[in-house]
Amino acid sequence: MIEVKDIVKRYGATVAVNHVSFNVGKGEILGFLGPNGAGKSTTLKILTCYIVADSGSVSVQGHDVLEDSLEVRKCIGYLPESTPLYSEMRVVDYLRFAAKARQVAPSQIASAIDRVVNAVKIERMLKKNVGHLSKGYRQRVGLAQALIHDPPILILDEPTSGLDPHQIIEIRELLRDLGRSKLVLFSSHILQEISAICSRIIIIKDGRLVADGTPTSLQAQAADVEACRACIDGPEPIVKERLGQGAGVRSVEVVAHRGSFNVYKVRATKGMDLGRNLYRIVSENGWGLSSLEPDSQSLEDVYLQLTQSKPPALSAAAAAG
Amino acid sequence: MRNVCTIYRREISSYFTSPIAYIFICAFLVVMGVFFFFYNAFFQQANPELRSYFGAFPLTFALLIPAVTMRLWSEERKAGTLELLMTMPLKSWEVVLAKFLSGYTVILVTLILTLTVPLSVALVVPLDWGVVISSYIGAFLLAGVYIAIGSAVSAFTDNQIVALLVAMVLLFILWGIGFPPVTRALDNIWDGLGRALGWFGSSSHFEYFIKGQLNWGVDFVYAFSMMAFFLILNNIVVEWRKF
Repeated sequence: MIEVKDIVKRYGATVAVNHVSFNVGKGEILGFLGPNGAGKSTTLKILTCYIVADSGSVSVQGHDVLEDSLEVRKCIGYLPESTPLYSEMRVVDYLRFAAKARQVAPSQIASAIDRVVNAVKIERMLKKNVGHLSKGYRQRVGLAQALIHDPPILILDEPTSGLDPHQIIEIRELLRDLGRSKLVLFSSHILQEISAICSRIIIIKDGRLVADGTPTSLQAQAADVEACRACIDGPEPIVKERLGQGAGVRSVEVVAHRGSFNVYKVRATKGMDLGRNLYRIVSENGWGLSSLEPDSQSLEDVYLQLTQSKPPALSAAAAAG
Repeated sequence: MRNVCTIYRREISSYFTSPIAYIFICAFLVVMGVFFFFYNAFFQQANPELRSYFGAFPLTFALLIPAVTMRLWSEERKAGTLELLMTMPLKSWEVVLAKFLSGYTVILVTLILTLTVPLSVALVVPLDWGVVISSYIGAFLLAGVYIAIGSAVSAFTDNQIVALLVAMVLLFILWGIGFPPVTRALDNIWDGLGRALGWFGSSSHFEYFIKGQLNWGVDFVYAFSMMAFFLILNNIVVEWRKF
């Protein structure tokens, strides 16, 4: 349904999207994951015909985004980041406008509005001004306008940002439902969200595609790394520094505090006897140790591993605005 | 055309649900009223006529029309709604045209309200209705040119104040270069320069309308070609944003 081939987008000297290619088919829920400013929004803007890539090609349901942009836009329901809506309009008027602008036949408009209003549960808000809605309801109105023409493809840029946990769960459930009949593509910088509902994950960093696969296959990518959790009582900066010098250690982070003890998560290359090394370092320094246990590699580890090697290009985020 | 109509209706409702249209209409009527009573000094004229009252249209438009057009694109760019609008299956010229027509409608409503002046004057003295009608045709066309310019300027920036000020300056210059003293001064610098630039000036063309002359070949061509040029420019700016 969506074929992206080798797209590049530059903003001045910054490369926001750097030779990204992927294909997505029907019935997939594709999560676009990456740190802020990685080029997620820029890629989505190219797919939705808001901007044009400098090179490469994108086709959506067989229509090229440059030559057949209107057809592409007809089959996509899009909700940009931060949910821009006309705040002076009433919800019902806004949905009517969206229905007409998205080419819903006049006779179908009333039923289309009913359908999306039920789907996102905004019955009680119809007569209110969009500008007076809470953030959660705003987001739902944004989803409603994206769904009004019953598009085969739904593209959402950070649909859950700024929502409270209940709202996030509701939106996730809605996306999971929609994913049964549509291709849903959404971006997020929150890993849990993506791993909770996506059938496939694409990780982007500094404009490059660094990983593409199902949550399970990505987890397998972390197979060459092992991790330990150690609960240590000692001066934090020194503990971090000494543990970091251990054989094969890639990263050390504090994940919890328990009284004077800190829980450190240490990742190292597999086969370097991490547990034994950690114990040796702790005893050599005379720190207290209350527990030391192996830690399973989660998706989060893969993500951190793939995206942490250097700080993301902030200028790309600023340019992508 | 259905799409133009959809966007047009949204724009119109946006003008009239916010105070902007009402403020514009009031400001316009007040400024023109001041012209009528003080500058034109209607009641002190030996031979009452409305020519200098109508003569105030180009300058008043230049000062106030940017307040109507500044929001057309800048507001949407700032709020991000442009992204949603331009990713809907709409052609960019449809959006450009709809926005232009919505601004035009606000001016049309205002012009209709200013009819109270010639109508009430007609109660006191006999008016040459031909001149009144041609003046209104001229004002309507002039407004179209100014709105097209204001809208194109607004497409360049996401800051409404910048759009307002730049459009004001441009329209003021456009008014100025058609003004006879300016034309003469420019002709003195380089013969023909003043007249050449003067063709683009709004006031020189408008002069004929308030004299009651409808020059199809010149003044209408001027108005429609200026509108077309700036609407096309507007469309180019909107499309260019993609790159």
